[in-house]
Amino acid sequence: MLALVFWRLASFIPTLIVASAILFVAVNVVPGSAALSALGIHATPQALKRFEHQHGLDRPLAVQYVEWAGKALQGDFGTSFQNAVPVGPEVRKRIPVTLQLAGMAFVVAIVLAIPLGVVAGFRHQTGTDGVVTTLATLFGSTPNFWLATLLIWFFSLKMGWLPTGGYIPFGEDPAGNLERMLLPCIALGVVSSGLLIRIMRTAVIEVMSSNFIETARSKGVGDLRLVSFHVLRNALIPFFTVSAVEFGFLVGSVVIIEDVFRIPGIGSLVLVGIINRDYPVLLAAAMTVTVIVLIVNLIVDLAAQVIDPRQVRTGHGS
Amino acid sequence: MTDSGLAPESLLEVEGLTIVLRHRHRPPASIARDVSFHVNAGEIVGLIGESGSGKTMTAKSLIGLLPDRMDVVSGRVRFRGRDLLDGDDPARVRGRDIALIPQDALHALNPVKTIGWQVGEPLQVHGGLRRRRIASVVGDLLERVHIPDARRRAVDYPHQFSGGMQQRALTAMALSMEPPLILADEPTTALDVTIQAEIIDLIGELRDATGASFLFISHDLALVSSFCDRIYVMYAGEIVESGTKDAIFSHTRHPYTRALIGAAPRLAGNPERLPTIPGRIPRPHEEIRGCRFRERCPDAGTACGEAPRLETADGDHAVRCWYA
Repeated sequence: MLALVFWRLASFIPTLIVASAILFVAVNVVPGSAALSALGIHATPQALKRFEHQHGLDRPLAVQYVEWAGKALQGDFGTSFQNAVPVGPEVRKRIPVTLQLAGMAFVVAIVLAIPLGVVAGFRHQTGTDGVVTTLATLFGSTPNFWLATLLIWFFSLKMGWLPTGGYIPFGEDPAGNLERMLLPCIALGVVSSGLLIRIMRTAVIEVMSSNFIETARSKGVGDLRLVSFHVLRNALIPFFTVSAVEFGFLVGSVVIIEDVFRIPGIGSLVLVGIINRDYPVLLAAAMTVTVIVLIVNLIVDLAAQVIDPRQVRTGHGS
Repeated sequence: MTDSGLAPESLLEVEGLTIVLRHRHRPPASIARDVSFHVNAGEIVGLIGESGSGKTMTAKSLIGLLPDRMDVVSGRVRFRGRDLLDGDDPARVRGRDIALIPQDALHALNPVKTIGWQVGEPLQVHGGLRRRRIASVVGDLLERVHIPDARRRAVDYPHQFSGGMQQRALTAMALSMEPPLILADEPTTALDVTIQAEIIDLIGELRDATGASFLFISHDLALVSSFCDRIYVMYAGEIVESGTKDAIFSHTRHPYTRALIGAAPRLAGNPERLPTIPGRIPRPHEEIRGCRFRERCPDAGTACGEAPRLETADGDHAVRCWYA
């Protein structure tokens, strides 16, 4: 187990190198100029040149990349082109915001997916299964920004129950924080649950066709006990593995949801970075997201291994 | 019916059991046709046939474990005087009165639960015993099926057990509620020959120790002959011959049984070509007029165009063949 964690952590290094290189190239080949964005359209050509020279943008891309990577490894992500604020602290400040949002949304997705998937899989090819499968398709194919707008319209504007957006740190005002986080988490979680419900359903159907289910039945085990002791844990093993991938998609959606709800997280920083061609901001924010996804993947994989005794070494036996 | 003169000690009586497989586009196909047999207390009874003969489904129907599309359409199953097909009784006797030793031991065990937990589960479901008491009973059960270091190995997971040990654990599981009848569904098929013999010995030993009856399902007539008291031979959903072990072996009357005995590989003689039964077993949905074995039968004659009945010849020995 420990060796596995070590190797997975080691595998982060090439992943991060490749991800950052792709990002670096991508931000530089898209049309638009950082200098123009920073200085405005009325800037003189000389001013633009000076800006580019000052920030090293006139040098070959590879040189820029190596320099950026070298500094990033030491925790220095440079300063924003827009306002000369150091990027590192700005990103760090926003990490808990996005972690809370993505984490709670993931919990919403899983809490929806496990029971619905189990019910549909257990009642495979019945009306219940049909209803749940339709629901899952509906959830999964809803654009999350549209659902977000709908939620704001109903719960905030029409009913006046919840704020339309914004953010208060949990430490300052827990109730205010949760009030503001609820709708974005639902918008993200419900859409993510669409795929996860189907995964859980398929996993349950697969387990239900196993011989050991018949063995359990032959012992006189009833439906409820069958699901809770024989089906659930076996079905969770593939479910967790796939849900780690789904988490990656969920974090990608954070960019838009943070913007819709005006949440000052990393996602909105990514958006600002793109719009302003603010490369240091964009790179730092995007790499942070990558690291979060990698770590969550690792955690979820480990969880799947913990519930599967075939993967864990025990004291004795062959 | 051969079983008309039932002995009073008869534990399980199956009469005229017919199982069909429902099909969306075809008429229902018969899996078992008019199957009758009985198991007396303390007996080991063999139910023999090729795969597809309906032997496993016949056994599973007794405890209501037929697959979704299969149904018992007629027949009577009496277990200790109760009618199992009447109402929801099959589920109630499961594990407590009639236990199953499944085939394919590895897949028959839940991979994420310990052996001890699984062996003790019937006690949890039916017994209402305390956890510590269950653990101690499980230890006894595992010792009884000769699992070395039983109490310590109870916390192992199935993948940590060898195939033979897994089968032993499944046997212990079936014994846990001390049921009067145990259905053993090809419990040795997936095992090496030497391990097979150990499991066979174990079942004989357990019968002697507990007085439980076994319905032993197998495709291997030679294996069954060594320890069954009586044998039923099934072919294409029908019982074609039944009798005591000696009657079946020494006075074989049905050509199918004879072919099965002939098809068993022997070490002596010329092993260059193993004898086989030509042709294949008919599929359940195939319409067959007359004797169902006719197509493959070396002795088939004109009479076989009409289906033979299972006729009792002498004593307990019955056969379904015009020329027997």
